[in-house]
Amino acid sequence: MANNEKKTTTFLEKIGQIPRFWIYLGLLVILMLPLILRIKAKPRMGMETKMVYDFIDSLPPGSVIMLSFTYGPSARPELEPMALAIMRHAYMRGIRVMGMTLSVEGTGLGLEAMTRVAKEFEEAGYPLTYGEDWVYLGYKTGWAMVIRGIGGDFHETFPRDYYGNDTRKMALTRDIQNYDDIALVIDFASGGSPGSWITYAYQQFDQKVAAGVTAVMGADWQPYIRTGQLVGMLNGMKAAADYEAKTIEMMEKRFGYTPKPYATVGIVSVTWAQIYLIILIIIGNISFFALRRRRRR
Amino acid sequence: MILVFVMGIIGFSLYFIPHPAARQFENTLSQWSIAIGSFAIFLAITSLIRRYINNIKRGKDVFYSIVALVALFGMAGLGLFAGIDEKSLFQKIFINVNVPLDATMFSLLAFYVTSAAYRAFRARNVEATLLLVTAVVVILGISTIGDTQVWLRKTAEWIMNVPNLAQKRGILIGVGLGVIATSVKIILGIERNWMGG
Repeated sequence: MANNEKKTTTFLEKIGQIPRFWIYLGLLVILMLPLILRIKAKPRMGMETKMVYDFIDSLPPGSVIMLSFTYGPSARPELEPMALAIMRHAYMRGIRVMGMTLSVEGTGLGLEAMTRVAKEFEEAGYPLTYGEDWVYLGYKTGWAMVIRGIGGDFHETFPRDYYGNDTRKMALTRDIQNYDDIALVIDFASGGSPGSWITYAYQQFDQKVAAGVTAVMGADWQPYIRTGQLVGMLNGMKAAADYEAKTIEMMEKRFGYTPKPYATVGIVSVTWAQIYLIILIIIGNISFFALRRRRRR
Repeated sequence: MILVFVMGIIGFSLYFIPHPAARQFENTLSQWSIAIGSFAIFLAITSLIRRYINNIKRGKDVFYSIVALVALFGMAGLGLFAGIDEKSLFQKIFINVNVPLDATMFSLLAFYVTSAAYRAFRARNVEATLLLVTAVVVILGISTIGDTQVWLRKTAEWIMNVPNLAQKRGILIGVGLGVIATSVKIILGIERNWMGG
């Protein structure tokens, strides 16, 4: 009896000391499997994501929205699928899109995202025209000053686009004077830039602003939704998957074309990893309590 | 200090004056700020070059310093002379070298976090248990599991929208008051740390 009890305690001790190698290997397998097998989730759109979706859906065709790609490669898996999905939604509604970035690293990522969606629509048989349907303005240093500058005079702040074209001459940007001509700004951010958009664009110029943020930042920006300072928020991979699933479905129905999924596959990896993490925490705690009980005896 | 005082008062006042002339002046100031901000890039590049040249002269991390300088001038040269459009070599190097490197570094965090949570996340007392249970409910509730388990999702949303929101607002109000106090101190010359003193 005493021997059995000793063996049980030893086992419980051991499960609290799994070598790091096996924990890492387990996580690697769990993360990779859905990506290799292309397992897709069928998510249901959350409330904050739906607020952004509904706002874009309510805009009349011909409206202009501005996307700010203020993130680096580390946040790309979460934020890029959001941007792709929003662009797909906008183009299908006849809404025109301007892209820009307040981060140096976001310059190449914004260009990549915008050209990718343009290519998707070309493949779907609905080609978009650069300068009419979409424009990429690139990077501008100054953060808050750029945001304020757009509110003052758009053409002074962005006299040329990313390719060096005159913004006063392009069909899309020709008539844009300031925020009055921009229906919505969506900031895809891995840092504090939504705060600057709220402080300057919303507060000073009454510009409608939405945010797409990483999951770890979501809680920071939630207070601004309840106050109406953000029209909605896309929070992490889950929101990206929600929006992506919806726009893929829309493109399949309308063009018979399926864009490559990113977030709907990625969210399966994330969910599995979260369950794996919770199981590990439970195992660790079982071991902890078993040890504590033995010590008390 | 006089310049900061004058510009601080002007910048502060312009925020609340809706007159077109004030708006125009504010816009001009914004454009000046953007132009001044651009000089920070030159400062950063100069500092970077000096740092790595000094390293090479001293024989410290010579190989890495050369790699950094070659990358700096190489990418700048490519961007300036060979274009920056989506098909350019500049963009291809950025997407195929810089992006995977940066993403890889960040991805390692997932492994460290998992290992650390397994070893350190223990229900040692009431507070830790509360934190543990809340974390599990929120993680599961806002993930795809919450799509099928409505009660889990509702509980997670309540945690995020009530206790989380309350404490966030408290912190934000505190930070806001702190920012106002610091700004006033800088404008009035009470706080001079930014001058290096």
